[in-house]
Amino acid sequence: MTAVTAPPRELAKSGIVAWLVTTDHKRIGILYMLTSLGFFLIAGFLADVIRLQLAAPQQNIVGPAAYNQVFTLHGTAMIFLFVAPFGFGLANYLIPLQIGAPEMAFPRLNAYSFWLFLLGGLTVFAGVVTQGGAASAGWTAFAPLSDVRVSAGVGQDLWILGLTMTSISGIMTAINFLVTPIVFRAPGMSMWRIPIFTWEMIATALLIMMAFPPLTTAFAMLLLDRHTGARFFDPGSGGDPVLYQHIFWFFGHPEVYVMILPFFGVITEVVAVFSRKPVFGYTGLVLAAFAIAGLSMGVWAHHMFTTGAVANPFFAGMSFLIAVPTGIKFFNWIATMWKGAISFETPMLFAIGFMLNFLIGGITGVMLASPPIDYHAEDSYFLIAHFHYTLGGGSMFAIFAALYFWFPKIWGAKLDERLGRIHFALMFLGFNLAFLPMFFLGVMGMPRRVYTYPAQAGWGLLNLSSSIGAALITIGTAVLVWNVIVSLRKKEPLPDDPWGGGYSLEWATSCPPPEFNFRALPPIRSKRPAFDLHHPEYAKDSQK
Amino acid sequence: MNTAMRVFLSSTAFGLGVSALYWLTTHENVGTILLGLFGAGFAFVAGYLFVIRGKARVDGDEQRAPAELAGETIGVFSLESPWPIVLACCTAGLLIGVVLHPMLAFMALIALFVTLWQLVRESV
Ligand code: HEM
Repeated sequence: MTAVTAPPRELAKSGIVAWLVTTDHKRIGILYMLTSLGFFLIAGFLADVIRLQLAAPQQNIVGPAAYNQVFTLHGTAMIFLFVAPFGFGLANYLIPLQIGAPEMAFPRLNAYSFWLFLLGGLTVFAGVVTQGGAASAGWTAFAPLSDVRVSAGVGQDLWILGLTMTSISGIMTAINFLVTPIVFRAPGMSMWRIPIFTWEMIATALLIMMAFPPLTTAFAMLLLDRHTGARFFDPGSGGDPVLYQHIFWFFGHPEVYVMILPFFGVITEVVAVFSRKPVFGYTGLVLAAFAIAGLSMGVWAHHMFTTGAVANPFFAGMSFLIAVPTGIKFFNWIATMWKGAISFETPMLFAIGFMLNFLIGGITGVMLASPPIDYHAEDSYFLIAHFHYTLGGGSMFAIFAALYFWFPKIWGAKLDERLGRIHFALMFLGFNLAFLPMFFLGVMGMPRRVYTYPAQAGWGLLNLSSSIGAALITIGTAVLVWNVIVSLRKKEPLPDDPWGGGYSLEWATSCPPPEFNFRALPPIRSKRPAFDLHHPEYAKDSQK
Repeated sequence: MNTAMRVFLSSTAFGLGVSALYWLTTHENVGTILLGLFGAGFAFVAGYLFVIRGKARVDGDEQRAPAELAGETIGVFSLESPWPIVLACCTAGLLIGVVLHPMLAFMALIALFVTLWQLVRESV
């Protein structure tokens, strides 16, 4: 294949400079994933601080002001710097490979996005060393909590500025995710043959383009309020704090789907490979992704039922509707597994863990979409449990599934299976031990964002269980880090498709892939070109 | 390209539909316009794809093209450039500077223009 031409390298082929100046989508993908995992470790440490503080009633390990900073940074880092960016990293690595392209459409824009994301994350955390400490208005920075009277410190400014950078970076990334699969597909890779993961990223990119600009706007308005006395959100001067909530959630709810759609894609790929069956209901899965993306643009005010200032029936109805395409996805995963030759390697374990956890998150989501229930559960630990089941039990589990699944492709070494199983067991047990009790705590009336609680409340035992769960999660994460270290030490040559049964194009090139991805592309005659290549005896079936 | 156009067209229809539904249930203007714009934005892209439909040929749409053709029309890709990271630093400096230190903003702005110029030079 006469793939592409490259100008000669002038700066460096290896070493740190090579990484600083790289525009290779695979390297940028790796940088994104490593950085987001780094932020995950920090945010996880902060979660442990929260759980240590709440393990027993009336403790004072961190005081109230520090506690506010800790949960703000935990939430911010998990959402803006870990889950969504990991998806971006994975997509950066995979989209060109999956569609048979040598690169992203705009490699330098891609590099710019990554560096701006990193600088944004560092800016958010730079608040820690400022005089007033880091931001403490929660990950939502609602006015008036984030206004200059309540949050006078420069930490809040750095938080807003840092996230503005990540938001700009996200928009730039989305341009690449949209243009590349539309324009750069290899011959034969029609739109209806591209893998589900790439489709999910197209839907995600559309969401980013619609949702991130409003966020940037909201932040600009916050800054104007804080520094020029603009008073957009100050009711004393005719402003309206609910306006901030509208704009924030117009971003915030689609953002939730920016954090889950890529991982629906991951689960689809993993389930099919380890069930040794083609994906069931390909078209349905694609349409469901777009239905979810579309509906998610019309549900923002379900986060605002209790303000009494929004049309509750409309937003409740739209929110209920999202359960339908999500249900379709679940149905299709189960149908893909049905009568398959299922094997339970670590990626599949995490995929099944994802389905179980996300189901709980999804069903409690439908409950919360009903305003009468939401009036009771709003701002309680019930809500905390709900969204951790979707984002932690859901997205985070899918991230681990992806990590184990594509690790051999990226690094040329498989992660150790035994350590992987231990990691999964600790995570699954720990996660449910940590978050199931929170539903009950919420029903018993424990509010979120409190740094301690009285012994008489009777919440001690459930909180202790939750903290033990967090400890298990931490040990599980340590096992993962150990696994990466030992597995990278015993690298051995791997075939193109180390799992056997891989069907999308990334499994038709070496582990790791060469510069510009493919030495030769196989003919693309179906949705499963790599499978057709490795199993020509079945190729006719998949081309039907 | 047809599929891409259909993706954007159906998103347009969806946005406009939801906007109408929202107006019918709430009679509230701001949300209606916001949702309507979300449809209209897609209409713009769909319209563009419609206008270029004859001219733009995408390899991927050739269902039975031999793989050997891949990449021939794709062109030159650089594997490295020092400017994206510099541009990111300038952007960060500009944003932080505007709020916290005008001098930093000024310097970052100048550096930003120089970097953009370098990026353009590198491309031609
Ligand atoms: C892995 C173990 C995790 C533990 C033990 C944990 C624990 C907690 C706890 C106890 C709170 C409530 C703090 C409070 O309201 O006082 C909290 C808040 C939060 N967590 Fe997690 N979390 C974990 C993972 C995640 C993940 C994966 C995400 C993903 C996106 C996440 C996002 C958030 C957010 C957004 C908040 C709300 C912060 C705020 O109120 O502003 N957490 N977490």
